[in-house]
Amino acid sequence: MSVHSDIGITYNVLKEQVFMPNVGMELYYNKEAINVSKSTNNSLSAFYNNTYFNFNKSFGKDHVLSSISGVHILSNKFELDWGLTKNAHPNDQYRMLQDGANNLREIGGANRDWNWLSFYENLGYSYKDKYLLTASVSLDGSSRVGDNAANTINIGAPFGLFYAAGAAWRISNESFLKDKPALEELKLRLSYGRSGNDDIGETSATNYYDAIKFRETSGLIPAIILNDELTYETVSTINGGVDLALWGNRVKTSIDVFQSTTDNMLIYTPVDAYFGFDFRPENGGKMQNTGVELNLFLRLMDKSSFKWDLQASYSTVNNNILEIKGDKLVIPVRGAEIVNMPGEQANSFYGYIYEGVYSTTEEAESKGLKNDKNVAYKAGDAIFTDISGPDGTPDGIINNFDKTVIGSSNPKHFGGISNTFTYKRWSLNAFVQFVSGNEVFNYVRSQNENMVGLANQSTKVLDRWQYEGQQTEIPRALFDDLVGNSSFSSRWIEDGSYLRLKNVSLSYTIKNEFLAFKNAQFYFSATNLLTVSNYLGYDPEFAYSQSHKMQGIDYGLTPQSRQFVLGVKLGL
Amino acid sequence: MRNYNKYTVIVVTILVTLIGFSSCKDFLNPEQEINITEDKLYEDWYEYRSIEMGLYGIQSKLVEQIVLLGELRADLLQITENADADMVEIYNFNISKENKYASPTTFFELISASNNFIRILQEKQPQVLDPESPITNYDKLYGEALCMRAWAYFNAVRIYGKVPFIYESLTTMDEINNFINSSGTYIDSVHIVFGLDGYENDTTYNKPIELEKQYFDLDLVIDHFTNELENSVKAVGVNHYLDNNDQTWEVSIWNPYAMHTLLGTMYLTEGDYTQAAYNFEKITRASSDNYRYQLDQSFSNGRWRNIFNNIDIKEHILTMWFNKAQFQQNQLQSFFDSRPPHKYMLKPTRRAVMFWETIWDDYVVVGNDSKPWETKTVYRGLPGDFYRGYGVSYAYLKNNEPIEDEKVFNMLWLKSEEDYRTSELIVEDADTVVWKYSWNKGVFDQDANFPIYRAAGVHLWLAEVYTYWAFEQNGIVRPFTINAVNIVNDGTNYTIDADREQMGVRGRVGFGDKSDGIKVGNINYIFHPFTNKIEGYTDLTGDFLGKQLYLEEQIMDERARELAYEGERFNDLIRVAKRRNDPSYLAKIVSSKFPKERRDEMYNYLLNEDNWYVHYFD
Repeated sequence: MSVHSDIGITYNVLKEQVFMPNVGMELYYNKEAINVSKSTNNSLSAFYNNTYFNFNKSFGKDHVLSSISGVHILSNKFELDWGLTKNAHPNDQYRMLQDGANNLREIGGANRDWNWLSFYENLGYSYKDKYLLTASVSLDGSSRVGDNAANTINIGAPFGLFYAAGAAWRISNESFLKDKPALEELKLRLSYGRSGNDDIGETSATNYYDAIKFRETSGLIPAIILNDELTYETVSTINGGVDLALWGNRVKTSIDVFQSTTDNMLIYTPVDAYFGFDFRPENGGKMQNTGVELNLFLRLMDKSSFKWDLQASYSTVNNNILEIKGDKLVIPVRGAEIVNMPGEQANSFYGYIYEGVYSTTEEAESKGLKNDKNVAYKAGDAIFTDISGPDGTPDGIINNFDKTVIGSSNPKHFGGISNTFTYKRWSLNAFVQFVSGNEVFNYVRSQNENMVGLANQSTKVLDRWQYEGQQTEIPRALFDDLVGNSSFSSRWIEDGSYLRLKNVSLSYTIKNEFLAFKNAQFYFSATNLLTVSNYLGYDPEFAYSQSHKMQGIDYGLTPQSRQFVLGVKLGL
Repeated sequence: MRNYNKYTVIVVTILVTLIGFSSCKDFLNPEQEINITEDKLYEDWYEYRSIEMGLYGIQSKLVEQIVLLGELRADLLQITENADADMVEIYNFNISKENKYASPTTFFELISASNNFIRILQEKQPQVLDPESPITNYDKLYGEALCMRAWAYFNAVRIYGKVPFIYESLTTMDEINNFINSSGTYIDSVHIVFGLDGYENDTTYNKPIELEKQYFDLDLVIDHFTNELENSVKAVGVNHYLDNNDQTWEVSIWNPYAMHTLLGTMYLTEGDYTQAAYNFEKITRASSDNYRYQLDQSFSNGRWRNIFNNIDIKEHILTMWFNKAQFQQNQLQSFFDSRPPHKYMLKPTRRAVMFWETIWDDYVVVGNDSKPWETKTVYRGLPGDFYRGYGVSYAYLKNNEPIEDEKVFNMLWLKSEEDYRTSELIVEDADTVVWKYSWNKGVFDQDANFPIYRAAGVHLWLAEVYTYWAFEQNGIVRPFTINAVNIVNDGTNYTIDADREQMGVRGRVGFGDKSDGIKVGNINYIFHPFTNKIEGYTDLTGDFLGKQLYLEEQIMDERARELAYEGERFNDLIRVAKRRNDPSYLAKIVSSKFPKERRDEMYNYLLNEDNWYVHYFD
């Protein structure tokens, strides 16, 4: 038996200063500001301690029991402060917060404290190294959940009970397979677990007041309608798998089939207006991911001087919202709307279906559609599909009733193949990755083709509708686009599938002494050599934010560069 | 031994850690430093005051809704092509539940915050419930919260037709839901009786409170809240004077005058003229500060526009305060102004502009009512209301500058000479803009104050009351119509104080004399709007009701000139239509702003009273 205790202390400070200059730039903040300076100070201090007792014991020859019991504590303090000023001297040389105009200063911030405590027990048992059983249970307390959190055990504070269990059968160790020398390992695995996620915000379950300005002073108003039953999101996962290794591990493969169900998802449920709020945080959604994961390793050649390895992985995941309180949750993001609704993938794009452009006045009139301001579409305007209306049938008006799911950023299939040739001290490796079945909202293109103002546009707009009868896919140019031709629609949604030769590298390794060094490697590596994709933006592989709802929205990040690196690694 | 040392270190670490987090409960409920939780509030007077300030903060968020729903559905305001889809819906009386300007959420945010404050005052300052105890500042806060709640309900019910009535004892979401969805009577069984000497002596009885109606219509709202304000308010209006010279504080929070105005409007809407007059006269006849709310030269002629520049206790009764420097702005300027970056989404209707452009100063009519067909305008006077209309309530903007007053006067003069072509050249290509919230403002200010109640409005309401009010004296019915005319014209209804000359609503801006005031007689002449020539007349001899209706129309026209875009117009039209029991009154006036081909459709649509309300709670 042994005791372990890990202690961690984190103090993380991030200071940012942003200056948006006057010279050479447009005006900012609704044209009120010539230049802007902003300072942000983020700090996170965290303490963590994990203390556990580890216990291993063999009974006789065949039974092995292991146990880990412990306490895990996390304590976090986050502080964010920011300040912003506008209109410092137009020559852009005064960039500090005190240099801006007095009445255009803004300040803000947030403090968040979060504590978490978990008591846990993990048990493992194996019999003759053939039958393996694991079980674990944990009792988690979190400051984020409500005082009367649902599905918890109240021992002074609400604690969530979570558990997992697994069983594995190493068939290859059975006597009836002992005489199959080619078989290295064959193992069947099955596990089920239920875990809790307290990432529901620090104050969602607290009865607190917000400040609001009134005259020279400030007032306090109730910030939320309290939901003290707010509780953990739970994720239940069932996983079945097979591991297989053959011929001295020259062929190794594993297949996993899983289904995970996230229940009590934290969502902002629309509430009736008479509560005085539009939304409140609730555990009100259920989502399911079903998938298959496949890993394969092949050593195709295994000579002493030449080796050829091929490694491949492939996953397919089917994401599906099963339930959502309030039957549909629409979240506006910049330039688009995101929806969560049963039967669709999480955070799908939500907009109109774009069918093209009315080429003639006659065509526009015969269709007889109007926009959400009741203005009839004319020749040169966008054709959007009239899906429904207030009474459930198409009503000739393109508005909220005609928005539908027009794509999802979740890929259906993804994976990669890595190929390695090793000849003596030389090694040549190539890695290809692919993603398919996902859609991307090309925000950059939507800004470059919307033709709503004097900003520069792409050459694509030369094809815009300009005369009666013109057949084109680009609507007419309209200042401010009062008609709504550039509304969020399938016009801006593109297939995000791609296949990319991510990396090729050639290296020469000296394993033993090289000059004064222990070892050395000379290499040449090239990344992002080749991409096959129909995506019209710079790069189909991007991540603007960690947040799931912001995935697949191309706000114009710097594309990943193609790199060629010539290098030496020296071992000291 | 070495092993033991190791264990000691670990055990000490664990113990220190556990002592550090002395109890699970405290550890799992860390203080959120930025958030003020309710259990830490209400410890001193300043915290109570902050909650009160919070109510006004929410109230200020309602400005845009009040203007859009009160004006865009009425006759003085219309959309431009820049209007957003939600404005188009309001303009077309086709309002969906998702409409951001029509959602009742903010009204109920104010109601629920008021409920919360009312409940907490009852619990923690139980003297507010004791009419006999000496008046404290807590009583005044309580009065303000009751006024705020009544105001929110009264405004909401006028917009939505019916509103859920949330009693302050209903606190949790489940309770409120059960109450709203229960059929018949809902019994709220928690009834706490608070000791007067502090809430430690509370006694909880299981006495049910019966809440009878889930939804209140206009009549119920008026019955309930007039009763509540008259019986539960001991005092109203805390004297803040954060800055001792700043009297504007008095009228930017609920005060006794504002409460009486609210009561007066509720009674007027209900048709209880006696109570309406009683409450309005608390303002019009208030003698403190030298008859502060009688209309004198403080805001006469060129000074009228200052009503929208400063807050003053001689005109403002309750005004929402905005100031960019204190980060309190509203969107009114961005709705109306056509100068960038504003969007020019809404603009005055032709009918609105005509109210100001076809009024004549000092014209002379010669003739005899016994031969009205011979009566003639011998001097047409000067056209246009340049004190309240052009340059203040509306403006013609060319190249982002209002056209000068003289040019607009010339335009009207040319029209009176029937030279329409030249006159039109003057305003050609100009945008007609609602200017009330842009006057004297930079384009980025967006902080015009918003008057909820002001003196001229109350005088006009009182005139409306007097138009219909009559009582019997010694067997003779004594009407008050002359008083109504006097209030509107020159203020002679009131006792004139030597120090403070009464001017009347019209008289204050030069239209209250014998020559140009409103006249209600047996013969009422109809003038050509542009030439001021007499075009005809109506003979109301012996038709007292006809005269009342005629006077009512004159008062309504005056309300348009005086109070345009201050959010009450649609309520005014509904009130008159209901009083006359004639939906076509509203339908005709509102439908006239629509393009010719849609007028009949809108007229017929608005004949149905049901279509005057936003059906959010159906």
